Formats: sequence, structure tokens, C-alpha cells
Amino acid sequence: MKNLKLKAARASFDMSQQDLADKVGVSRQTINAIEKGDYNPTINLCIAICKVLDKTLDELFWEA
Amino acid sequence: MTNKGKKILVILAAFLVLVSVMMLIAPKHNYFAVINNVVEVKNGVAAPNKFKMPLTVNTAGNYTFTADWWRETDIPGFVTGLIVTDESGKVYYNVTGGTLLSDSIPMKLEKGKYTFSFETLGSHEAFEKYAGEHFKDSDMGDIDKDYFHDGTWEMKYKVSINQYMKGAYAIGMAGGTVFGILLIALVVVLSRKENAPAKRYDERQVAAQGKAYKYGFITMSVCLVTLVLSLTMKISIPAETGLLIMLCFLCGGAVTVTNLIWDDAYFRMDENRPMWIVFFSLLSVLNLGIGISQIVRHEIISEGVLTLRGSMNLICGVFMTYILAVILIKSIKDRNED
Repeated sequence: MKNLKLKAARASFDMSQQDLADKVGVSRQTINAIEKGDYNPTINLCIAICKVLDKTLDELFWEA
Repeated sequence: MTNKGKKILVILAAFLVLVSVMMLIAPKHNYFAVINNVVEVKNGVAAPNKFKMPLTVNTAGNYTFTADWWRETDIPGFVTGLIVTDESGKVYYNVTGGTLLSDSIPMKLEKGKYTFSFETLGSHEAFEKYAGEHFKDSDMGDIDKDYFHDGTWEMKYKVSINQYMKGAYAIGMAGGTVFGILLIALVVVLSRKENAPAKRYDERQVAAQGKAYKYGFITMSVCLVTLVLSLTMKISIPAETGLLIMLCFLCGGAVTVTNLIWDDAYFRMDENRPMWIVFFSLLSVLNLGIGISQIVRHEIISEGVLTLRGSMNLICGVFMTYILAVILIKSIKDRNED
């Protein structure tokens, strides 16, 4: 399932996939895969993304 | 270029100079000859029964003799005996075999003519008689009586006298390995982007690598099992066993690399892809060039069998080209998706 919340949060900071990838220390393809729903990140990576985008885990990764 | 890159470049240049100097001072006196003979065995008698090949050594020194009438398929039903003598009749090398690839121990040779005398032995009796005349009992091997049978075989006898340099093979192997390691180290250092992150692969790439290695291992195992079954069932494949084993490894490698590239887990995060593409292109062109020249010189097939030595460069060239093609297709796919 696509993670549109992550994509929207990233866009709100006017960040490209590469910018976010550089900040959390992963490759651009990994951010792309998370946004497309092709890869489920570990909790450590989720936390790193949340910190960079100033969001909580629930806001970005919780599926209601 | 980083300091590390400069250091490796200097070491590589120094190494190339050292190799060039060694090649200049290395001995180069090798003499060889080839004779093609159709040998017919009828009622246990081989024809032609005897033939000779002379070789002249122009410089005295330490040499080894090499006798080669090796074949993996269509094994002849007779045995060939070879004796190498000098002009005075002194025997230097004495060997027999139905199919053979053999080197003598190094020995001192004077300048002069050496004669390679062959004798074809179409029956066990002829073999025993020959062995009794030319070998001591302790040196004499035995050949099963069932080995001998009538038929006609196109034989290729290659002989050579090679100047011997102690440890030359080991030095050559070590030199080649060191050169390869230095070259790869240089490309790795040059391909690192500046301000690269400390981590080389991220968690998704590590997970994808596990999957790729698993599929590669399964593919290689299936290929090897198929090969072993084919060999056990004596299914004739016109290629040397070593080459077939190498192809099994390459099939596993191709599956691994394809998965890695497709899942963006081949290149490290800090890697400069164009640098690697240039490196692979050079390797492809180099290997394909050597491979094509081997085809032109008819070195790829010997006795109707694809040889490992003759086809290795071509196969490596095709493998490198395949990796390049996968990288390019993946790049085009990514560009279209972006």
C-alpha cells in the first residue's frame, strides 16, 4: 500500500526523495520504495524519518 | 582525487614498471611443434606405427618438455609412447598415455637438435613390450586390456621445450592477483562520492542482497546438480568440464547481479555509478576483443570440444556486457518512472 502521508509530509518541507534520503542516511531508492509501499522500513528508520519530518510514528506510519 | 586514491595510483604505476622490467629480463626461449596424424588401429596394430618430430634448442639452459595429446572425448583405443633424445641418443624424457598432458621436470639442455619419437601401441601386448624396453619396472604404469580397441582417430600431438624459470608460474599468478586487487581498489576509491555517508548499504539494500544471494545460490546449485547428473549419465557435452563448472558459477552470478541491480542493492549509497559503468565497459571490450581474436585463431575449440582456456575471455566479456545491459535497462526504467 502506498504511503501517501510520508510523501505529503516530505513535500510540505519541499524536500526531494534524495534530500530526505541524505538526512536519514539511506539511498533515494529506499525512500522511493517506502513511499510506493514496496518496502516496510525497520522501526529505527521510521523514527529517523519522523524526526527529520517532525512527525510522530502514528502520523506517518499508522494505518487506521 | 583523494590521497588514498593517489597512493593506490602510484603503487599501481610502480607495480606496472616492475612487471615490465621482469618481462624484459625473463627468459623467452620456447620451442614447439605440432603434428596431426590420423591413427588407425586394425586387429590390434596401429598405423602409422612410428613418427618423429625434431626441435632445435638455440640457447643452452634449463628447460622442461611438454607433451600434449590430451582429449576429453573420443578417447583413442591405443596408447602413444614418446621418447625425447638428443643427437647422441641420450634419453631426456619418456612418457606414455592414451590421452596425455604432461610436463617433465626441469633439466639442463645444451644447444642442439632434440628428437621427439612417437610410437603408437594398438594392443596391450605392444604396450607391455614397449614399456619393458623403455621403462624400469618401478616406473611402469599399467593400462587395462579393455582400453585397446580398433578404430580410427584424428590425433593432434603438440610438443614443446620451454625455458624454465624457478617459481615463474607462482610469480605470474601472484602478480596477476596483486594487479587485479590494486585495479579494483583504485576503482573503488575513485568511485566514492565526496561527503559520502559512513554507511555503505542501507537496511533495504542489505535485505535485498540476502534475497539476491539466495536466488544466485539456488541457481548455481541447480546448474551444478544438472551438470553432475549429465556427467554421471555420460551425456556428451562438447565442452570441457572446467568450462561447464565455470558456466554454473556464472549463471548463479548472473542471477545474483540481476536481482541486486533490479532492487538497487548493487551499488553502494556513496558510489559513483558512471565510474563503474566505464570500468565494466573497458573490461567488456577487453575480454570480448581477446575472445573474438581467439575465435579467429581457432583457439576456442580443440578436438571438437569448447575449451576453458580458449573461451574464458569470451564468456567473461559476455558476462560483463550482460551486467552493463542490466544496469542500462534499470536506468532507463528508473528514468521513465521518475
